[in-house]
Amino acid sequence: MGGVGSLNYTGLGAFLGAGADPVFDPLLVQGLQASAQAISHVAIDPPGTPPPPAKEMSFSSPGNLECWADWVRASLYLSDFMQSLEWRTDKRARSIMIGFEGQEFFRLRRPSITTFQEQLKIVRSYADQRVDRTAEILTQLGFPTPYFMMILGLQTAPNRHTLELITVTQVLSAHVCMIAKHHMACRRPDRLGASVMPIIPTPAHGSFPSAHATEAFAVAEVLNFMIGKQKPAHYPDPGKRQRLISKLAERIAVHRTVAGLHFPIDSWAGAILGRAVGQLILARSGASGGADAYRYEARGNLDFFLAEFSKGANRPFGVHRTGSCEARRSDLFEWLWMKASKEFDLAR
Amino acid sequence: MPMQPDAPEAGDPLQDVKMYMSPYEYWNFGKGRRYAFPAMRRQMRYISALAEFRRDGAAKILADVDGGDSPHTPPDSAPQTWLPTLWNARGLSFTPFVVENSFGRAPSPEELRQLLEAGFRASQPMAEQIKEARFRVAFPVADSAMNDAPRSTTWSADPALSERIEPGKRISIIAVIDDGLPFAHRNFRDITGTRSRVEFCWLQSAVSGSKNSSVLFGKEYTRNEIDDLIRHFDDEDTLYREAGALADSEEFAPMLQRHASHGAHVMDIAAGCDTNKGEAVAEEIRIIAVQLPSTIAWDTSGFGKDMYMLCAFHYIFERAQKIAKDYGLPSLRPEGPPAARLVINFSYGFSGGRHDGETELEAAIDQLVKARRDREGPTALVLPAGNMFLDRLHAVVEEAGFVDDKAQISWRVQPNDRTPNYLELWFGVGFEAIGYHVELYNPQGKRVAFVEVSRDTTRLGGDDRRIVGFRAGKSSDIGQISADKHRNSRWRVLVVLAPTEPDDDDLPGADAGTWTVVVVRTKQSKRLAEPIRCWIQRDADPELLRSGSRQSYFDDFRNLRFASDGSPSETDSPCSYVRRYGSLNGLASGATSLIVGGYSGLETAPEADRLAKPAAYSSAGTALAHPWPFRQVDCSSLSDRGALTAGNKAAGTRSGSVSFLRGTSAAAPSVARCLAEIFASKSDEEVAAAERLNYLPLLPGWEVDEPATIPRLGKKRVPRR
Repeated sequence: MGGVGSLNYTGLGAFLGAGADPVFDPLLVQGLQASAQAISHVAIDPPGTPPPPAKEMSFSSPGNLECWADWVRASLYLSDFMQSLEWRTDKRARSIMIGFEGQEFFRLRRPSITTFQEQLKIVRSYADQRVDRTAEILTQLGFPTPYFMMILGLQTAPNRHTLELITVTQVLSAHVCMIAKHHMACRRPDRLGASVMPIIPTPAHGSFPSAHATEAFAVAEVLNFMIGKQKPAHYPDPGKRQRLISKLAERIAVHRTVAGLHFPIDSWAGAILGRAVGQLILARSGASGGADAYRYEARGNLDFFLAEFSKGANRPFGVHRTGSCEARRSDLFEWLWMKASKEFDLAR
Repeated sequence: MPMQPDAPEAGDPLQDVKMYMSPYEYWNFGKGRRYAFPAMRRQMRYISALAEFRRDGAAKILADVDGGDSPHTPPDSAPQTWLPTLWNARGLSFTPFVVENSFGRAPSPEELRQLLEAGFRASQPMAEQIKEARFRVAFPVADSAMNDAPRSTTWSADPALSERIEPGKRISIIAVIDDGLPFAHRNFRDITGTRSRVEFCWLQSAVSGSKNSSVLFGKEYTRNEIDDLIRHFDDEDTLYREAGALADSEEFAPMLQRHASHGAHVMDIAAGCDTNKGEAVAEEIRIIAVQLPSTIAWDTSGFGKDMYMLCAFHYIFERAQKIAKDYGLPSLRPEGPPAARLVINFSYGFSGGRHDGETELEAAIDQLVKARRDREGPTALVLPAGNMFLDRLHAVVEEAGFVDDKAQISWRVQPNDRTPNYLELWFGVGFEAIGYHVELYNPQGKRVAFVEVSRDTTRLGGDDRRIVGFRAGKSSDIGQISADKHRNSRWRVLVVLAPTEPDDDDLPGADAGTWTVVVVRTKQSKRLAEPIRCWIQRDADPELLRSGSRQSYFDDFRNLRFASDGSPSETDSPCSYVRRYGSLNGLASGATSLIVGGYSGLETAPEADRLAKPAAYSSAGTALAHPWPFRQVDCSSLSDRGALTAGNKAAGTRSGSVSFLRGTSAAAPSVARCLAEIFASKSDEEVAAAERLNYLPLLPGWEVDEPATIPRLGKKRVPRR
């Protein structure tokens, strides 16, 4: 399980099959057939009648997205984003460089095993909060979307594009994070410390970075931008919503430490990566220009905190700003962004 | 400084110790140290203790004890020693102190005696006048909490406060001693939400973190600093972290990280004002808060915390004096210093102890409160009655219980218990138990130990005592039985059992099951003038702190636990030695305490609380039919909202959150709050007239003269907050 557990084999997660019509049951098929046989006589043209004139759909138009099933759109977003993603590893430095359209936006060095061992003490001290947080931990095994919905008051039908934007952000973040996890190949807390004893199964992927942190902070980046952009403000209290979203992202990440699955430095690496993925999605959507690029050098004695993360570059915590990464727009993401934005427009 | 294992043992290591060493110290520093609570096993550099002492000609030459911010310079040979913040009062015969253990390892008992003796003397002015001292050792101050050169506090009064106080109100103080205190919580701020009403907050086990600390250990936050923190951080997680309030020297996960804490709840009921709910803010009531070290650090007997608690009282009194002086309050006593009326809420308790106000800590607190009432002004001490009514922790051996000069009680000890179990038997005050001895039988019915209730003439100095260890087969000691004449006035027999499942699985554990304690006497022995009263020490883990404690209890089939309708029986069974009545908080029996029971309210109608029933757990003094010479419950307040809705509702640790707390701990602060509000407005005459009854007559509420509930709820039911 884990956030990416919801991706299933296709990598489309909740999108798989979404929007597709159901397979009919045999009785219905028989019924349809009987009806067709019985009524078709009224629509039969005499022989030699020419077909009536018919129109074509627009060629290669984002507007057509409306007509495709949800999972098809998801597949398109995924291909569109991933074609621009690139990465390479440096075996000697044990680091990975992740880039977009030829520009590096994230560099991560694998921490030493002693760095992780140093972190064990912090992980154990979080275990006392299991009594408080178990309900949240268990309902955030997959994507924690209802928690974001709670803060923004989102509803399934009127906010379906916003929910699609949230889900695609989560799916993309998970894919990017898996690449980093695979190369970093870092062991989980329960393998390094016998007394960690997680309260949920440890997922079968590396510890560093945390995918939950990546997803949560990517969603936070996208939603906070969306909230901030509405003019006049959809919400009377946009600043508070933004702070709650960020605080929620922190809490989602920390739950995984409380559960015994992640080190605080996993959250650090995930949060930095997630922020960048969120910013790249915003750039693809034409909402902003690009992502801030960072390098992260884990510090074993330090915990993860939103207040420190929000500072951006943060030398004592090992977070270094390395530049920026620009990204071009894509009409697919622009379409989704526009649709989602309208959901916050009272006059639509 | 990491410590080596125990000093080498030779025979009975404490045989030659000449100072008074109570059976608790004897066990925890001797054979029981391997089972002792973590702080005692790990850190040993700064040993702390409470000393009870007498000076020559005490009445006239007792010197001023130093104000506390600077230690005395000891003679060169003496160990380094420190006094915590002390209230400046003459004539006190108890003092907390800290002494450095220079051995670099756990001291042997003899070394410990020397350290305490020399350290204590070096800490006292005119030490040559001190003729006799007893020590109650507490658990050591953690290295990282210690600050060996405290400076004076940087606190200053808020110059604009008096303008904001309504006419007719006077500045008064409520002090809260608890755990997990959210000192920057919005409910403790003024109406603007920018200024804290907390004037001082002391976290006793926080990492000291600064050479500039104003307390000997832990960290102090003044109102000025709290206001700064509020200005800088609107995220309270960040605020507490940046303030260092989450760094605990014992490395326990801080309670402030939880949703709810005992202290957040208690402090909110005592002093919180939620302006979002339209509550008015009583700016005239200023707050002092003291956070004791985490309860997990304590031994299940309660051993180890006395010094910290007494320090809290001294600190509150001393800082209250600063508040009175700098806010320009008048004096309340002829020729007294400027003073504020003070209410202290102390929602703590333990089940053991003498219950006659004469345990060391109770006597020390009583002495302090009386001294402050005499010299400065009204001082109320509010304590909960306790939650042990149904827990089977109290038993009474009466004269009629002896058959053939033997009386026995059964003590059930649970398996999977990782902490020691303690059982105390107290003879009557002044009773010489000549010819009495107490035998202990293990669950297999084999006698494993016995002790005579008399002096062992080979143990010199200190109070009369006799201490015997016992083993299971060829193992090392798994327990101890002792008789000592506590504070030279009352014989106590203490039985200690090692955990049934020790943390270190190389150590032998005591058998789980029913142990039998038999009081045996000769035909010639004096009959009991008053019964032997027994209490088992509390051994549960109320906060899920992973201590591994499991509560032992008196197990008597004649004790009918359930009434005919299936509810827990709240009356004592006539033939059983197990008693619900008499289960009163062992910390509350001092003469100056106002003891608060808990009632279960009537959900929808607060005004109907007049008819409320006692909460089933709410402890009591003795039933009216069996007069008890000591204290009874004075009054009560809400501790459950209703029969089906457990607990009282108040704040969680973060602003805007809610928590529920069940127990008399949640009732006491309602009374403390009432009293603080009354203190802020009543005349000197009215307050003075109520002082003899610890201010009970001042409290609002319903007077209910109902014999069945008086021992549980007192005569007055104080409305819920």
